[in-house]
Amino acid sequence: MKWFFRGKIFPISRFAVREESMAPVFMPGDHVLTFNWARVSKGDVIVFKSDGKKYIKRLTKIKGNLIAVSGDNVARSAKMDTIEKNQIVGKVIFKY
Amino acid sequence: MKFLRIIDSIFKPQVALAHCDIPCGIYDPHEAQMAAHTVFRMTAMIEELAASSDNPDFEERKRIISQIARLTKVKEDHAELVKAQVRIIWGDYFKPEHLTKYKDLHDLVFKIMKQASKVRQEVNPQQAQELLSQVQKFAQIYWETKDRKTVRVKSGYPTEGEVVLPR
Repeated sequence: MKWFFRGKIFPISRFAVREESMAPVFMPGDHVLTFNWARVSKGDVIVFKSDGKKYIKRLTKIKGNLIAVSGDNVARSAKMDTIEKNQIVGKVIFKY
Repeated sequence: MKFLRIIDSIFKPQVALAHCDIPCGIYDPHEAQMAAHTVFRMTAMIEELAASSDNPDFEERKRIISQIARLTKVKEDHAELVKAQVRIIWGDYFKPEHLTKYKDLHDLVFKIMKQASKVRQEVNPQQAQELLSQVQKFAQIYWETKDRKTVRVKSGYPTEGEVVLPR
C-alpha cells in the first residue's frame, strides 16, 4: 500500500512557480498542480525537494534511484542536476 | 482555473523554484569563452562585409542587409550568453573566501557585464577582443580557485584566439 501511495499522504499539491528556468512552458507567477502518487518518466515536469526548498524541473533521465533534472530554458539553467527518487514531491499535471 | 486561483488567494500554495540552485558543483567557464569568441567572430564578419560599389543594386543591398541581420542576432545572443554563464559561476560557485585572494573578482564580473553590453551596441573588434580577454581572465581565476593551473591554447576557431583550459 505504501508503494501505491509512494509514501505520500496527499495525492495533490499546489505550487506557485518562481524564476524563469522552465520558461516558456512555466513562467514566474504560474500555478501548478502536482499528482504525488504518479509514476514519473523521462520528459515529465516534476517538483522535488532539495535543502528544504522545492524546485520545478524537467526529468531528463532515470538511472536506478537517480534522476537527472534540468530546466527548459538553457539560458537560465545551464546545468543538469541529479536527485534521488525519494526527493520527488510529485508530477506536474496541470497549470493554472 | 479561476476557482483554484481563489483557493490559492486564501490558502497560499507552496513555492516551486525554477532556478538552478542545487549545489551540484558542475561549472565550467568554457561556454562563456566560446560565446566571447563567437561575439568576436560575428563582429569581424560584420566588419568584413562590403558592397561591390558605392551604389549596389537592390538584390545586393537585400543580401547585405539580411547578412548583417543574421550576424547581429548571433552577436547579440552570444553576448547575453557570456553574461548568463559568467553570472551563474559568479553567483553560484564563488564564495567569500575566494574574494580574499581575488579581490578584483567582483570588479572583473562588473566589467564583463558592461563590456558584453558594449559589444552589442557597437561593431568594434577591439571591444569584442576586450570582452574575450576579460572572460579569459575570469576563466583563469575560476580554475585557480580549484587549484588547477591553466594553459592558454590556440582555440582552432576562425578567430585564431586562445582558450584558457585547466592543465
